Amino acid sequence: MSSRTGLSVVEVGLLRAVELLAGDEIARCSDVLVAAAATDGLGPRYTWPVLVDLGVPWRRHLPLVELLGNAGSIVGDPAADAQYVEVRLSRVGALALAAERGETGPVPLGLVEGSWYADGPVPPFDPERVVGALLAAGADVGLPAMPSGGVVSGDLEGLLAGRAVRLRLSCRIVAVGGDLVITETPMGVAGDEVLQRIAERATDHVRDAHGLPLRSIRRKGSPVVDVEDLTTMRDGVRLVVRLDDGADLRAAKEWLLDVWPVTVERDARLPAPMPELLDRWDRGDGTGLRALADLLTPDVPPTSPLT
Amino acid sequence: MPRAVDLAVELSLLEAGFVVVGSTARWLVSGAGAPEPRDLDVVVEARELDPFVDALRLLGGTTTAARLRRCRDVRIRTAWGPLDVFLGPAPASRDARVRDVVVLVAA
Repeated sequence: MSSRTGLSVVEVGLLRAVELLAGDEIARCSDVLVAAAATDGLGPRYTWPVLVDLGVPWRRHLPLVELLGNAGSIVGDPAADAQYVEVRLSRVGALALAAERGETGPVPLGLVEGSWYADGPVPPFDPERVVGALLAAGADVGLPAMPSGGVVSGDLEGLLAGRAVRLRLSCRIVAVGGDLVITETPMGVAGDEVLQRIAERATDHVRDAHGLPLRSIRRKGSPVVDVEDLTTMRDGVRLVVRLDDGADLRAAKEWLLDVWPVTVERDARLPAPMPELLDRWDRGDGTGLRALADLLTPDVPPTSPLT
Repeated sequence: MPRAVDLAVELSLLEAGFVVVGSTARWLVSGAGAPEPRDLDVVVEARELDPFVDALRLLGGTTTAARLRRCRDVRIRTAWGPLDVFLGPAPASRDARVRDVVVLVAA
């Protein structure tokens, strides 16, 4: 991992290839992968998923590239082939490369993104909390925050103290009318599979004398009548779970949270207690940290509807 | 009740032949004192494979007997969590009773 950004050699190589080929314009992803292979030796079949992860907002809080075309979806659709997708550096990606070249100070991308996005043990945290803590020499970055949303629970105190823990990651579920709606899924959990497994868990079978299934019926105890995917790229995840009329919403939510992967478990461990990580992070002259803070601040202040 | 145990119960109700091993077996044997399992590990003998796969399909697990014979150990995703199936001779086992259902657990 680079001490200046927390990025891996492969990730930095891909960013350099994007910068080289795209410049101020855009480049075809397949060309970027070929160019990156010339330096890191990894073929496109290995590096295409890495490039996609660098660009999709449900894997990273701060995408380092902008992907133009079908980069997949949060509900589990795969990205198109690399030849059909174009790419350019995002502003954070350009800042990361500047930090790598020593043109600006280190940027705490590793502290923000962790390594969960690559199935590593370190969870991600809210970028504004991390940058704020580093700017103020504070020790509190809050609780893990997944870019995809969802709820993290478990021994969070132990995690922040640097102990190995097992966390529970759950979908965010809200009540709408008499139904339940899943509006966020944990990182790495595809909405498609969430719906599929809810339907499977809610289904039982009438079987003949030999045990062969005759027809599907609702499983005893299941409150679910139907499931529907109303997710869009614009509005995000919206998985509607329709319930019996008058169903106990609290009990139904508990039932839903017991379905895998509405709730999943994940091992987590920070490389050191969080206060120590923040304290020992090398900020250099502080220019990279301040530049990242500027990027996190909206360019245009919100205007009052009355003005 | 851990989901992995619920899955073992569902498979037993469907008369699938298997022996629970690993963390779920430890939980079933030693009770709530053991760490809660996050997946179910089972050993299935070759002669039990076809009915096991039929039962698994009724729970939404998608695999085939041919794949299990080829790969010997396969992870399958279900609505009760991941299921690791190991094809081979069943270990010595004992009965564990869960909600009036008998589940075979490695002794």
